[in-house]
Amino acid sequence: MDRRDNRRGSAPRQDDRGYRGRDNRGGQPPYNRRYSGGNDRQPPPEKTPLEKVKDLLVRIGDNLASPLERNLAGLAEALSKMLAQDLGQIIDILLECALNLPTKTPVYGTLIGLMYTKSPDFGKAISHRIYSIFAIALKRVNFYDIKFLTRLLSELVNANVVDAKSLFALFDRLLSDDASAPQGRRDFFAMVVMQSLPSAAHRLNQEDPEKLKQLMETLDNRTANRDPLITSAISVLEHTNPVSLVRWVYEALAEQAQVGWPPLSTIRSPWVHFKEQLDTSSPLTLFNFSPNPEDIGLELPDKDPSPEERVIVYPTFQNLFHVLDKESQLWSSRSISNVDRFVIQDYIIDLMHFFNEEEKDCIKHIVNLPIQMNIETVLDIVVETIFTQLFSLPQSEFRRVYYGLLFAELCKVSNEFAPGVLSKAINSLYEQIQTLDVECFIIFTEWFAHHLSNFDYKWLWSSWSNPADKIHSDFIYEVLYRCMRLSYHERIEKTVPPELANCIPTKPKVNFKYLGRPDIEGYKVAQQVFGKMNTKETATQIIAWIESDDGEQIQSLSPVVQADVLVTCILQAGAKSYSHLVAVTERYHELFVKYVSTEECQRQAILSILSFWQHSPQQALIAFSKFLALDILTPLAIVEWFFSDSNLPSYKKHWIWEILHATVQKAMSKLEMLESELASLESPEANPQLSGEDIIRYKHTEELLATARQNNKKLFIVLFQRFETVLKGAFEKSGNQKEGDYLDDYWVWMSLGQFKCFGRKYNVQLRSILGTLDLLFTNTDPRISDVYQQFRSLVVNF
Amino acid sequence: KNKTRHMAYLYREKSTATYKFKDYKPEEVQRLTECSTTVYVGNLSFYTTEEQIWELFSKCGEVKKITIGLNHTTRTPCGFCFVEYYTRACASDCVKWLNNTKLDERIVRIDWDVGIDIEKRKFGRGKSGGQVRDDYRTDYDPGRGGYGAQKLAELNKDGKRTREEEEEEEEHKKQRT
Repeated sequence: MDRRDNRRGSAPRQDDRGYRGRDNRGGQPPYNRRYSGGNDRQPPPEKTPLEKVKDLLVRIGDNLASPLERNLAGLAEALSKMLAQDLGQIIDILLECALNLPTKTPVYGTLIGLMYTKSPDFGKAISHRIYSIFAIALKRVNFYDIKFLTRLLSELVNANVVDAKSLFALFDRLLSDDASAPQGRRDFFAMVVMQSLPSAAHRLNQEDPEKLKQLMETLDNRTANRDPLITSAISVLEHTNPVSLVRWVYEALAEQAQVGWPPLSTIRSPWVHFKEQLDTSSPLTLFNFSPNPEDIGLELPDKDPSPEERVIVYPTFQNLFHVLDKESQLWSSRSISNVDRFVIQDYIIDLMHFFNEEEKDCIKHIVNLPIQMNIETVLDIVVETIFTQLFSLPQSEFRRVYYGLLFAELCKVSNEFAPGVLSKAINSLYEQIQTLDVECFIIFTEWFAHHLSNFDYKWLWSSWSNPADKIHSDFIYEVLYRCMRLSYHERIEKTVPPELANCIPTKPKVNFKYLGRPDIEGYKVAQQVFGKMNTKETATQIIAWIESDDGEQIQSLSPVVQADVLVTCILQAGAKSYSHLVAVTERYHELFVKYVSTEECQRQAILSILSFWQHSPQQALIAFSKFLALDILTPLAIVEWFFSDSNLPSYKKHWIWEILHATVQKAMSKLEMLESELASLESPEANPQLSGEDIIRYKHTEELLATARQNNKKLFIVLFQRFETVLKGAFEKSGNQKEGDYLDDYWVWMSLGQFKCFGRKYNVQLRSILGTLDLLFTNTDPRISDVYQQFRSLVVNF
Repeated sequence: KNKTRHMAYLYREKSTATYKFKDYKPEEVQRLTECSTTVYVGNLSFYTTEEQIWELFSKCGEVKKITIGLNHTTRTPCGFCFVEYYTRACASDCVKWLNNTKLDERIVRIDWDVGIDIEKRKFGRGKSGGQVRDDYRTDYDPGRGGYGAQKLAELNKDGKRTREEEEEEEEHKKQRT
């Protein structure tokens, strides 16, 4: 692997050989640009034997064409010779690789087995290390460490380093939670065990089939009576029966149990080749099996009883996402069991986690999965798995843009087959779009537009030329709108065929209401104010003018109209671009503080923004974000406006909800920034010798944080109170609905969907106000309380 | 919260900024880029708007400020910009993922920036007023004013610049403004 190839910021080669600036880095051999800041022409320093061995360890098993067994034997030989000097470091590197390179656990398991045959001390040392790391991982609740340590131990059983008894003891310990533990925790530990069984079960069945049967029964009980509300809360496609992953995995394993646990082709088993050699060593007993699971000495993480006191957030396992059928030639001929599918899915999700820094690496590893199958035959699983993570609810592990760009990279790497599979998936989703959860609908539009922007907006638009209903035509409109935001109106007009011309959004433009309308109240004043802003008078000067005799006209207006005039003029002055808006808002910040501070004035400011940017929702969103960031508008004011009667008809527009989302998100990010600021300061308790100034700063930040927390709590309570009022009112009214009234099915679909979205997205924040919310939603319309119960299940169970 | 690990580092070392900042000492550059929330974006079209930049870069978090790089003579955009985020995590996601993807149908290059003196450094340092690379490049790029300055001078001397190319450039300009 050539390290020079994947430098950040390297440009495609251009023909000129002249200046090599930032965008035109040549990086031709022999200059290795990584060693900047010194003489570029020096060759890189020689590597120590340990570093060379580390390289080999990291790369072993990557190249599927190279003979793994021979490499393993050679590497085991080399490492055993180094054990005398560098035992600790070698163990460190081995474990680091085993815990962070998800598809290669069997390889490292076998390697450890081989080294154990050559040196029993090594075996003891590494098993002690594993034990202590496991204890730490459980204490810190490091999800991935726990999972991969368990899997490594399964592989060590295969490689005859650890005996089967220990593994059973460990499984028992992990499953020793009682029914009082929240579902999220029980699910997590059940999954840890089930994710290791595909590797371990064949061997365990040979050693002790009875215990394996008991284990399966325990798992059956664990996974059978899961709360269906959780599955509904995170369902992407609102089918009648969303399939929860946890139960599906158990059933897949049960299928295997029925046929006697045959070895799986999708998991590598290099230990089979070395069986004779490995059998010469006697396996260690890491954990003693006893009736009392706690005897093995591993402490499970503390149980946090009530949601309010809980600190850990257990992961939510996404439901099975299945949109592609077995139609294609590519995968109709294969025969993989459900467990195989699970193994492949698991590999892909783990690769996306561990290689999130480099999409190219991630896709390279995905395309080279060691599953004894060509990746083209399982491309549908790959695409569906990436979609699962893209639509991951309530939150995705990484920003959703990452998963979108993985698709782009996949289409580049596997350019013969992947685009076709992806198109099929998109079309399949489009057909079912009315069953898509509202949040996923929005994620889908955002992703699809961004994806198209990376591929010249090429799409078979004409296949969508007769949208079935409003939701379908809305989808096309939203996608085109977002494409327009990423490019410009004429470009989108060019791409879309004439049949869909009515789905193209209109060109954005300003709506300066005072232009050419002398009849509007405040027209003359607006002219004066705008004139002053154009000549870049400062805020102080304008305030002075307003308060002087000359400002008689503006003084005669009501405060609300004053606010309207000022805000509209400021928007006009900053309309040219984002930077103009930023500059103008900062310049006239004082005006806002003085004239747009009361509730009514803030409400008017909101209406002014919406009026000014009614033809360009993106600019409205930008204006709102800026005003929130500069504390010109408070989140509470926006929430109050949002749920006011006059705003209800506009709920059918997606961009209105975008504003509400941005508002709540902004309140959350301010809180997070304060938290991280406080964490970076030293507290007076930790350092008694802190200077007076630092103590004051610390206390001040503490106070700000406490206020922010209070404000956010209030914000969420108000948010859900208003949701309840508005939705209940809507359902009551819909009984006697007039023709042309806004309260149609679409409005209900959107509003209920967004209600669910907010509750689910911020379920962790709702932990502290659960009591209030329970009271709020007791006597309400059943449709509302259904949705409430769904996201409530997330609050209490994770 | 579980801290995610970046296992690509087992295969290659992580780097901070790859650009050699000439105006600052290497240790300073190291220190500044390691706490920076500003990124440099290169290979933009001259006609890319701030709203387009905002739209793409908002996918990695809330954008605080966008500073478009300007030609030092004409004070018009010359194809690069600085994007500042509120938090470093957002900037880091941006460098990780958006680098080498398309904005306005051009592949953009994103790199860490030192984050200071943006107002001074927002002007192109090439002889023609734009970025230095536009002085020397030899390809025809309608989004960046056609030919590079040096090549343009050569062509105009021979009078060889074709009418088609001029028209194409006018057309491109008209469409984008």
